[in-house]
Amino acid sequence: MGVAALTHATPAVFGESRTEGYLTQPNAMMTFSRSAVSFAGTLNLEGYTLRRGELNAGIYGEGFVDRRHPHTLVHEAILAVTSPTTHGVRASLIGGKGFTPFGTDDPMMRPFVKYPVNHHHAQIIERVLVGGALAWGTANRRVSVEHAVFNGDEPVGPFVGPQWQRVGDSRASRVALVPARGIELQASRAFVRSPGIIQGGAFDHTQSSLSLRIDRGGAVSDQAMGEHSMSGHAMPGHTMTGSRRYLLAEVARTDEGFGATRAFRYQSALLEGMVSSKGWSGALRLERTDRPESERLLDPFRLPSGHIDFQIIGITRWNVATLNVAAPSLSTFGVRRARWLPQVMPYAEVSVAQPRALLSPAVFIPRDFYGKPMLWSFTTGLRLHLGTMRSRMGRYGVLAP
Amino acid sequence: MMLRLIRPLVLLAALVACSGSGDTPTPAPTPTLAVTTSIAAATVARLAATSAQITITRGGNFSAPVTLAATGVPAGVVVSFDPSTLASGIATSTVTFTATTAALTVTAPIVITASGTGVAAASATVLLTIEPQAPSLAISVGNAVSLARSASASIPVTVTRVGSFTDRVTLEARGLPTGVVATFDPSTLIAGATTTRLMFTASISAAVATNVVTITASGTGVPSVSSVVSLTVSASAPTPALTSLGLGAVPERYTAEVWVRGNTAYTTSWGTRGATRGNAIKIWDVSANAPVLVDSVLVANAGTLGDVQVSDDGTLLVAGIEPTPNGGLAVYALDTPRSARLLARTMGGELQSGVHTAEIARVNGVLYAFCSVDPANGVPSRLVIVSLANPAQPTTVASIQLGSPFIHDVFVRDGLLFTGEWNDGVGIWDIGGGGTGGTVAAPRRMSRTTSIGGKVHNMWWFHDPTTSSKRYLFVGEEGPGAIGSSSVGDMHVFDVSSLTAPTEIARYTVPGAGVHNFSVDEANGLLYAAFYNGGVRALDVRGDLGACSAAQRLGDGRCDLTLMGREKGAFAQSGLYVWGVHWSSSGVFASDMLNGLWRITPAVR
Repeated sequence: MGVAALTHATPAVFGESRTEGYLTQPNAMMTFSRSAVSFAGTLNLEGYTLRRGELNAGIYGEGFVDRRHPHTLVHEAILAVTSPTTHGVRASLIGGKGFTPFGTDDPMMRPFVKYPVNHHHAQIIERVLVGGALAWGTANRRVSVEHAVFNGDEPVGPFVGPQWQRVGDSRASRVALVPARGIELQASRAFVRSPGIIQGGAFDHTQSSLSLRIDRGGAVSDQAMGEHSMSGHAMPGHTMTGSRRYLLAEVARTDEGFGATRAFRYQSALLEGMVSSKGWSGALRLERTDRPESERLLDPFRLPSGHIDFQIIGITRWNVATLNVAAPSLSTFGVRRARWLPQVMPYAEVSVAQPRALLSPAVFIPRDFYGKPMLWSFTTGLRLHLGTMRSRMGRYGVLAP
Repeated sequence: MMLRLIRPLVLLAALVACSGSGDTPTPAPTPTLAVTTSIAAATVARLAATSAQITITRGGNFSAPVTLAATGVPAGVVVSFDPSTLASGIATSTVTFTATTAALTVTAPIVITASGTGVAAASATVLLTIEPQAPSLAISVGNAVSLARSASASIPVTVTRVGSFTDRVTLEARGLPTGVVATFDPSTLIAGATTTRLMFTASISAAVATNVVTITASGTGVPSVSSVVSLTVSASAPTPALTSLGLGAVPERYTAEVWVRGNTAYTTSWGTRGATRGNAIKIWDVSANAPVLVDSVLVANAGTLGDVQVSDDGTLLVAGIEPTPNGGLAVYALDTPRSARLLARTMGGELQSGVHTAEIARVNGVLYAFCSVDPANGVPSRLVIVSLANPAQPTTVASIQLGSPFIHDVFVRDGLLFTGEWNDGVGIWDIGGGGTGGTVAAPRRMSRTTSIGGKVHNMWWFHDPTTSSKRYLFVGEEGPGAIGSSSVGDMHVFDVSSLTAPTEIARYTVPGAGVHNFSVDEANGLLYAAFYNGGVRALDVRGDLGACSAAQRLGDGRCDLTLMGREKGAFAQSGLYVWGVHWSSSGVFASDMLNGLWRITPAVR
């Protein structure tokens, strides 16, 4: 899969507008399952296609700000061994690199192209982890518990590996309840040691997440390819034969400090929903997220990785509204394509953001830095999709979709 | 037969007739007494009480006082009546069952007996159940506290765990007046510990008022309990104010470090203000009270500058450039003090990760720049020593990975190198004066000592010319802060009489503010410390800083310079965020990130 995107951000920085184009989220997903053993892997090629990051107002992390950082090449490579069902319970042992059991679904699997500001509050990804999962019940009525230990360091580049010696210095746990098909309540908590400086010693993060996810509706089929049909949790790139209703409400929080001693707190609330019918979809996301501000590098979209001297220069609260509309595959309109070519689905997305300083006096004043109080972003392009995709990421073994 | 019946009837009639005359006495009614209780059963926990009402009913001709008593009372339970004797006409009393700590957890029938003269005693029974004491907390605090600004005072706080509660207790103080901080030592009482001390420290600008401070003890599974103490802050014995003599305003950039030589000052700039980069070195005429900007130098490919310093001979001006990937050094020739000509601007190499601080010092006649380089992109922080023997071609002579996670600053004097290694503490190295064979190119570590609180930021090795003492090393701690708004961190005093085994002996704290850079007027024994939002503080650092009374000593054994009366002046007002302070023979100057360059009055011993 991949998304061709043309973004016009006004202003992007210093009162200036920017227009840029990318191939974003280029991924190759692989799944393998035989008997008790399963594998989930994702190669992410953003290191090749958007090395300097993608315009994305408000987002931050891993040294990028107002640009989404490229993910690592080996985005996900998880091996799981799952037990047979005993008294209604199944268990999995999980190991590899991928998503920790924390927070909500990766934004890549949600209806919008641009990531929410809270990506680093609501997901902890691309870590080497060892963990397990227990599930009681079936996929449509289930209680699950996950726990994993992993390395706290965030990747410092798309082609840079993890700090192996740090595997085990961080931990995350998630409890999820599926009371009925398509409804999921999740609560999770994580302690991440020094994510900002890979050799350790920077702020630790204590993170919490609570969410309700409802995803109900029509069957999904890859009409043009006529290959398969998925039910339930279809991701936006698929062609929908029925209607789908999707809602996610989440709150997330990150405390920065030393161990359990808090220095700063950043909070987030997000509500997003989508309705679709016959491949046409409309989605709206409302978000309020706090982010730390650090001294910018000469490139105004880059930050030092980790706060230098444990200092921040402010906390900015981002209120963002994003609207996305998407059309079904062009094949729906009679555009013919060869079987080996990807499906092509047009979309358009607009967002408006209002950043506001929470600390005063502060040396980072959003109005002065951006040049205007409101930031607009217009994105249009094509979603490209070939083959079979997982409907969710970050659920492994017994919890794999 | 009839006659035999009539005769007795006549006799009976006569008898009845005779008895109806009213002269025959009537028998007195029997006195009676009854007692009832409002409850038949009661439950009481240890160290608690419960009550019931007792009602007596007098009958017949009984109206005398009635005495109440209880029997069958289990050990550890006290029964009392109010009143215990019911006078004539009084029919109710209250009985109270009080369970002491000695009470056993039993159920016992307690018999309440009412007795009076001339009447049969009556009784009622209450089934009393004794339960274990409910888990709870109690707290007691010391007496009212009075303290002056810039002073501290402490009181004991004692908690009592009740019932089955044995867990840890956390303490919190609320209702503090502005400018006063409260610290508990310790702030958490682990299982078994019952006493802590609460220290109030009033800043120099603390609100003069009397407040009621609420101290709350909390534990898991028990209700929080609170007690109050009256706290009075007085304005007596204020620290003398250091006042502004003039401001050289810098509204377009954030001001960073300051260096002064003669009547010329140099300031660097930092970060991005609006869309303006912190890439300027400003040159000031400070011959008058208000600094006057005379020139500016823009450093190429720079977004933030750190330290700035003039060489001891006045010929070179050196500035550190931050951050990655354009970090480095800028070296200027000072053809005149107010004319800087670029000699070198390093690019690439180890300095490119960002020179956070650069101190220049001469060792064995050669000028060096000691550069503290930021960690970046997975590369750890390091100290890079650069020779400026040829200032147009700075040359690296040593590079050492140091600091966890930062090395922030160094101090060089007498062939010794002091390194601020953040959570790794303070390092002391021989670079030619330590007698261990170390050199600038191959420093030899003599010691490394962690400080209380870590986050070692900067140092100053104080030489007292009046006593020739070289005993004290002042160490700055830089805690988490939001630049422009808040800061945290104490100044620590190390005794370095033994360079191989320094010990921390004292601290100085400013409530609500954190320390940054120092400058010392050694001839007068006065240290000036930049305290960010706390302005500038001046301290008397002459004499024995490790000798203090018990009242001036902290719980960890260190002396508190504030309590010792060492604070000799403060330049404090709202809207300040002071990065650096520089004392020179021409005056005291403070670089304020938000406002520019201040000239302030010097402190007086």
